[in-house]
Amino acid sequence: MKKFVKCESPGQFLAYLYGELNGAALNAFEDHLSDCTTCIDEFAEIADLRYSVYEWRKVEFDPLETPVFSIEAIETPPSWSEQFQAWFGQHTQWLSAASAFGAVVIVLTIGILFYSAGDTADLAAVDDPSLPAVIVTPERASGTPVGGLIEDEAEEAKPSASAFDERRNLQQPKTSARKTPSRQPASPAVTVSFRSVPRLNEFEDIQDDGLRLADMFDDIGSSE
Amino acid sequence: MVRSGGSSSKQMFPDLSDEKLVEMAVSGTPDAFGEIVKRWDRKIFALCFGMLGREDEARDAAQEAFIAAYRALPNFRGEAKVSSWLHRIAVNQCLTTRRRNRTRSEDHLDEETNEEERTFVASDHYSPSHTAERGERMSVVRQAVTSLPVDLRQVVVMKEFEEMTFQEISETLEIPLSTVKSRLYTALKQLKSKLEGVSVEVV
Ligand SMILES: [Zn+2]
Repeated sequence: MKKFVKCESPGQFLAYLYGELNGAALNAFEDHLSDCTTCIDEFAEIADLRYSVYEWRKVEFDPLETPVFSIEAIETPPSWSEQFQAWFGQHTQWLSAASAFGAVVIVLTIGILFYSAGDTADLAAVDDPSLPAVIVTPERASGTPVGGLIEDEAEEAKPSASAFDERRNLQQPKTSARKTPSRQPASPAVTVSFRSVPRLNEFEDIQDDGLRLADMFDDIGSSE
Repeated sequence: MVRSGGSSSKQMFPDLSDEKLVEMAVSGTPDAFGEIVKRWDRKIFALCFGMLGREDEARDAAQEAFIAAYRALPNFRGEAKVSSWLHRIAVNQCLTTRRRNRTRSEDHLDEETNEEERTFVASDHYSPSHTAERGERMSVVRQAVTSLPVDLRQVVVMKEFEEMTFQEISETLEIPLSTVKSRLYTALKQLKSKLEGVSVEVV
């Protein structure tokens, strides 16, 4: 026992106990501890008391897991128009087919017009409602889809790709639902799952006073 | 109650002092040293845990300490208390472990081995016969901590439950570092007086 060396202070014991001594202070502490029975016994006592608190916390509080919250977006079934748009988004070759069909109709119509050229009566007959209601302009014959129906469909088909992307995003939980606020929000299903919460079965002699960590903080918080 | 050990599971030599038990162990009485281990295993483990900060390492160190003590039995002279003798052996064992760990981390060796060791999480090292005593100790600790004055309990909660450093507690509470430590020290000492009855009463 090195009586001539000043013994360690309680503060030093605690700093060492919680791993908060470093460098020269740590080396000096360990040098002294290895050779001073008084300090060894004092440290052993503090370590024992501290372990009692640690053990109590571990047994009584650690099994009380923080609940895991998971918010899952419930996917609402897509409406018929969404399905329709999605279908066109997926099958882009349909547009080419429609364009080709339109071009054939235009060529045939022009052919008919030329066939009956010069005859105003024939021209008037074009307005005959019994003929297909297709208005033809030569500029539009250059490959773009023509005709009221086709045009409408093309316009609907255009945004379909983004609508499809949007729908795909919606399938991803949480973040994507936030990214598309204009959409009718999917009702969230909040699942609260607790992992196993073992109680102190092994210590049947313990009276469970129902103490929880919150109780420890109650008056601490109010005392501030 | 003569004995001074920490553990109070069913004992074969309930009325003998630790020093007498060591004497008997030296002279070859079977189970005398086993009785010493039973009485002291928790406190030696707690000491090792205090020095090493990890339960798996503390368990190994405590075991090594008892083996070293058994080997050193012939050298034990009745001058020191058995508790001090065991504490010193355990502290030196832990210092060896700490030095070895430091060398290892400096050399960046055995990182994979360390990982493996880390997966060996300590479960209960108590035999069923320790359970009743531990149960009572838990109850006393709970009662003692919850009945601490608010300023002391606050520090215990921040240190043990929120695992804040002394510096962080000092800054949060706006009190000097030394005050934080003295509050925790006082809290632990108050716990001591309440716990002292436990190991003596339960036999
Ligand atoms: Zn000292």
